Amino acid sequence: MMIVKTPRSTLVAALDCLLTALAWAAFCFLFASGVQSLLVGPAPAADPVVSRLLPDAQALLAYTLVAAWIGLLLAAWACYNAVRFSGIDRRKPLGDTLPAEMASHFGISPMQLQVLRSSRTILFHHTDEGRISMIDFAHDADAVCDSIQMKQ
Amino acid sequence: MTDRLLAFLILCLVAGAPVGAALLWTGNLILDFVFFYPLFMSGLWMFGGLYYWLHWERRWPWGPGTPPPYLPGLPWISILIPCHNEVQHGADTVLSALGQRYPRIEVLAIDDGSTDGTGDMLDQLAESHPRLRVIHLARNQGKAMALRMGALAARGEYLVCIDGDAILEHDAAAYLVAPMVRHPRVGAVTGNPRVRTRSTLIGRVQVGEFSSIVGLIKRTQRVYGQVFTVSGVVAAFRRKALDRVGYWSLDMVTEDIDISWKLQRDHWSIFFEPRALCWILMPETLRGLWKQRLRWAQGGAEVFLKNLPGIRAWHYHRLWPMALEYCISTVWSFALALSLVLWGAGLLVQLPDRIQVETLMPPAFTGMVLAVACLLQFCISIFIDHRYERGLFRSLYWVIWYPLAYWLISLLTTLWAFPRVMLRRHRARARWESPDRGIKAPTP
Repeated sequence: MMIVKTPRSTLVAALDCLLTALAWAAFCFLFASGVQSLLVGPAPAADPVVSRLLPDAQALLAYTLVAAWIGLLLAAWACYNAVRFSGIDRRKPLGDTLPAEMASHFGISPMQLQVLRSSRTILFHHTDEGRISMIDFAHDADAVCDSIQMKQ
Repeated sequence: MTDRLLAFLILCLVAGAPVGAALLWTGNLILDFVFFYPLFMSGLWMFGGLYYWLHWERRWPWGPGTPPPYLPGLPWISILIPCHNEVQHGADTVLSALGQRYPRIEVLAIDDGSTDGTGDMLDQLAESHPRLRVIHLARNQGKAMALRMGALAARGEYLVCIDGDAILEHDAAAYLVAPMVRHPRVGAVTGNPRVRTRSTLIGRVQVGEFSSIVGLIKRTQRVYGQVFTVSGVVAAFRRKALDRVGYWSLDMVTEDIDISWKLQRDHWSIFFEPRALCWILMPETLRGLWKQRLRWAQGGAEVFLKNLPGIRAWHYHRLWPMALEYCISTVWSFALALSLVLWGAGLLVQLPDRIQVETLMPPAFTGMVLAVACLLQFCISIFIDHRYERGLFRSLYWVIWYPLAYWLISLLTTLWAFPRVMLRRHRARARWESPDRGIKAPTP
């Protein structure tokens, strides 16, 4: 149910499969020519930095070492953080947001916020600048008021 | 004015760095950077993914019969669902949110000025589901505003935000909130989006991409300690943290990247919870994919430009590697573009030897290493992710396109979006555009 597979023409589906098979073929070609270059002799001169300085096996070792160095750097950083902050709460609990803080942030009163939070259907109107201009509760049968007009 | 000068300077530096390197050294040096940078990033992501899995993830219980995570104090969770023209998928999304096993939830569906009847559909749903509340915005205001209004009306301290076409797994909300309840420093938790749309090649490639790239990057960034962005489609926030940073910005095209940086600049941690599964619809056409990725690239550039002046102080040094990685990725795009230009120009005219690019194919040996690195990355990501999605290995066949698709799209969108953002005069309010949510079946 989660996976969506829209039916498509057999031809298009076959084309996708064929193109992907070709991509795999190109991948295998890259791999095979690399192995061949290792077996036959030194790497081609198109890669001056590596082939001029290092024979292939050493270049492979260099790649591996650089990869290992990057990995170790990341692991060392993670371990350093784990040790440094072990058992320490880096931030004291700040408590829940107070309704007054919340209301002031949006330019409404705590009382209006309370009405807002107790309503099940709300309609917001905004000014062009993005400020709330009116809050309408007309569609909410249980609302304590019909609307709140905001001061601009 | 200073901001615009800074943006222009950044553009000159990023675009000019490859040109300068080619003139100072050789064109082949640029080509080496073009080949080796993805290789080393791939290595880093694989290592980060494996470290995360070995250190934490493999010990976390998962599978049929696993009870939902216990949240001490049973806090209220508000699930916010901003919807714009979601009449086709909105009901499934809302019902999946209402179907959470955690008992203390409320669902707020925010109809952001829809014109397709989404508002009426949500009102009807609310009549039969007491835990559903509906917020209407009289006019289309954008996702950031919809989330702000949802947060204002929500009763819970923990806000789980999902897109209007996403389907939450039944314990996802509890998994997302659990780290925030346990650790006071956690301000947000990002979930694990899984691609639903798998009809076309583009859809199937993204299945592999979300495992091979998104999953591994998120794990690696979590090992490092900072996250470039939460997933906008599924993330949870602590209200206190949002209140301190001023909630979602209205003028950022990717509000998820922006809020991630705002929170981390206020020293909140962002966690990744791979067990918080959310099934998402992704573009299945090239046009849809291009539009989506262009928006992501533009959003990344906007956030980079917005935050760069502010994170210079040592106080924010943990964010520097994130900014640096973004910067190098952008330089990489310009370097590849320059290599293409030099190679093309070399076919037409005789260039000086030092800036001549003879071939765009990676040298055989390097090509082999790249191919092996790609295959290894696919295998590692599928090994880590397969417990969340059985049969994921079947996507291995299609994932061969990912290196080309990912790096090529990354190249083109960066080249298009980065200069546009850097040269733009003002940021406008960001509003919705209906994205591509998969192809439609042909009518008989």
